[in-house]
Amino acid sequence: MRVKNSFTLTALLVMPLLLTFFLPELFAGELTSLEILDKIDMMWRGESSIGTYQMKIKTSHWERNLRIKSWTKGLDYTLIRIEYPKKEKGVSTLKVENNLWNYLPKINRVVKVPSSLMMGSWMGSHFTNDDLVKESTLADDYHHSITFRGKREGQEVYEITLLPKEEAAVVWGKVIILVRKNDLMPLHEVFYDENDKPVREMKLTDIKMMGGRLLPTTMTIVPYDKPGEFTEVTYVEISFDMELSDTFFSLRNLKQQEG
Amino acid sequence: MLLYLKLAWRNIWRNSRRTLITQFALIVALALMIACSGLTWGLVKQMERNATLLGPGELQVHRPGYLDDRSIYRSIEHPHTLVATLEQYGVKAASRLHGFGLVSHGDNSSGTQVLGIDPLKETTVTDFHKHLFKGSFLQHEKDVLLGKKIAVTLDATIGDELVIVTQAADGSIGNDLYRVAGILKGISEEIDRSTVMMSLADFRGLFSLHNVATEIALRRGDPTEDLTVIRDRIKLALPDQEVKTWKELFPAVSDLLELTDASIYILLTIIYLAGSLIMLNTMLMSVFERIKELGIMMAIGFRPMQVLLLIFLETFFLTLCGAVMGLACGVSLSLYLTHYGLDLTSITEGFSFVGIAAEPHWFAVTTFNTVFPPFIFLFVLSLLAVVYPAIKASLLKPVDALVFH
Repeated sequence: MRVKNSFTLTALLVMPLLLTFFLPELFAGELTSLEILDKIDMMWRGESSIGTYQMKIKTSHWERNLRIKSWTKGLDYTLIRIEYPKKEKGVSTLKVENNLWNYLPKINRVVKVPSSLMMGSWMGSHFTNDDLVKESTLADDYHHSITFRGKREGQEVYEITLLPKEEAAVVWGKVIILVRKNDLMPLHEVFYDENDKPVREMKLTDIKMMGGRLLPTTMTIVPYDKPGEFTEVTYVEISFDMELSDTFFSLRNLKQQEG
Repeated sequence: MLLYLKLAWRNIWRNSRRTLITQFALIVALALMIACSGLTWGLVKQMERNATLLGPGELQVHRPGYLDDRSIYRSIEHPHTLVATLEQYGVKAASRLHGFGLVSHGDNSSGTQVLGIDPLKETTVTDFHKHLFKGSFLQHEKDVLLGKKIAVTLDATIGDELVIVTQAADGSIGNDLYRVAGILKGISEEIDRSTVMMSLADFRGLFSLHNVATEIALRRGDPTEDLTVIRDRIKLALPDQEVKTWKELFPAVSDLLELTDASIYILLTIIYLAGSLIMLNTMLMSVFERIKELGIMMAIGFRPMQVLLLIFLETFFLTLCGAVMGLACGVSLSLYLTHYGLDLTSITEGFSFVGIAAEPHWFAVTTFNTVFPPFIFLFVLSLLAVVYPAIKASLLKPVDALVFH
């Protein structure tokens, strides 16, 4: 009698554990939106990353090409440095938590970007300062759900719709992400304002292996209100999970040219 | 008739104390009314001046389309030749450039509207140089002027170094160091909160621009000339550009000023009525007090019409004396306020009304329009005020009048 009792107890304790362990396996074919978002997030960031990009900005008045180097660590730290063209060489942006500073080598000064300018353009591109500052993942700030499964544009996709949580301080009214089903590669994201009007689109293309991972190596931001304009970022090289200390992301290092 | 005049004149001075009190009331009322209307019109004039000479100027020239999309790319080429042409048309002209940027001082930073001005020409068109709270106007290279509130936001004062970062016209990142030369007094919410002014040369350096301007601000050479007439003349001379008066550029401000005008008429009517009430009271009393006396006059043969005439003549003399003296006092007071102003610096550092700054030093204006309406108003009202007591008195039966209490 006693033995039987203790067996029941053990079973009661162990069963939920077993269930949590095996449950994802049981439903392996049907990922949740959270799992997809987490996977995309880890693909981009890793623990840390060092990358070099080409940024092509086209507006109705000018067109520019920048070469940028970036260092990231977790969600809180980012350092971006312009390497080319000459006029802007060394112009850098440091992000620590939700603060943003720009360093201007010409005048050797650091300028803090005020929160009122977070929706302003980053270095003239179609990225906003806010794009750099986002310190939490989309999954933290938005309610998310898979709103479409099936074939679109010739491939099996998931469509994930994100709506901001009530308490989240976010800038978008809605975000729709299209993800390729077989390898969970994001294909494009559409950003809506609070009036449910699409504001800009991000296309993710050139999916290939880089830095030991499969990832889209070209990102194109197309603002809907400025026809003909875009910013295209292409990865030249990237490596993940390098050793970077927190002090690397300091105002002092921001000012140093050999970062 | 001469008899009536004589009688009226004598009646006035028979009770000299009452007459002097009435006179005094009249003089004080009229003097205050004249001074008040002088001050209120002074305020309107000052606001109108602030809305033009501390901001847009009286007229502006832009490239067509600029006003719809205030882009630095919609600029006027070779503005100096345009300025030279405009000066031949009897206006003063100054080129300007508008842009946006990020200004920072130490750990403080703020978004800003950068205004590039021609330091020499701008002083002929606007009065920014006379409206400094601290420091001096643009004199050296890399000097900037700050709006009153943005200076507080940045915690910057004269001599401090500022960093301005912008998106230059070629897409590059414009950035440079500047020195605070002066801080402006309150002008308008927009200028106070966000404006940084620098010379055109510095602006062009910061924004990587060649010889262009986004705007040319104008001021009449002859301030009495009608703005729309000048506008039409300039339009003919510059068919490729858009020419607008400040009223067309800022209809909201112009409407608000007109609304202020209207509310000032209401305010003045109230002041006039208050002044006239003093008058009315004394006039009423002076007739009712004398009912008994008038009854005696009627008993010895005065006819009602003659009593009426007598009372009107008395009032006329009384009012005329008082009004002339009141006019003299009022005009002197108003002229004093026109020249020396009302110094409110101990009460306020200046305040903003309908988005336009008012200075703490308040000057009146003295014109025909501020002096004669109160005069006429008071005069007519005093005569009207005695109609009722005069008719009442003339219709009295002598017997009733004699026992009137």
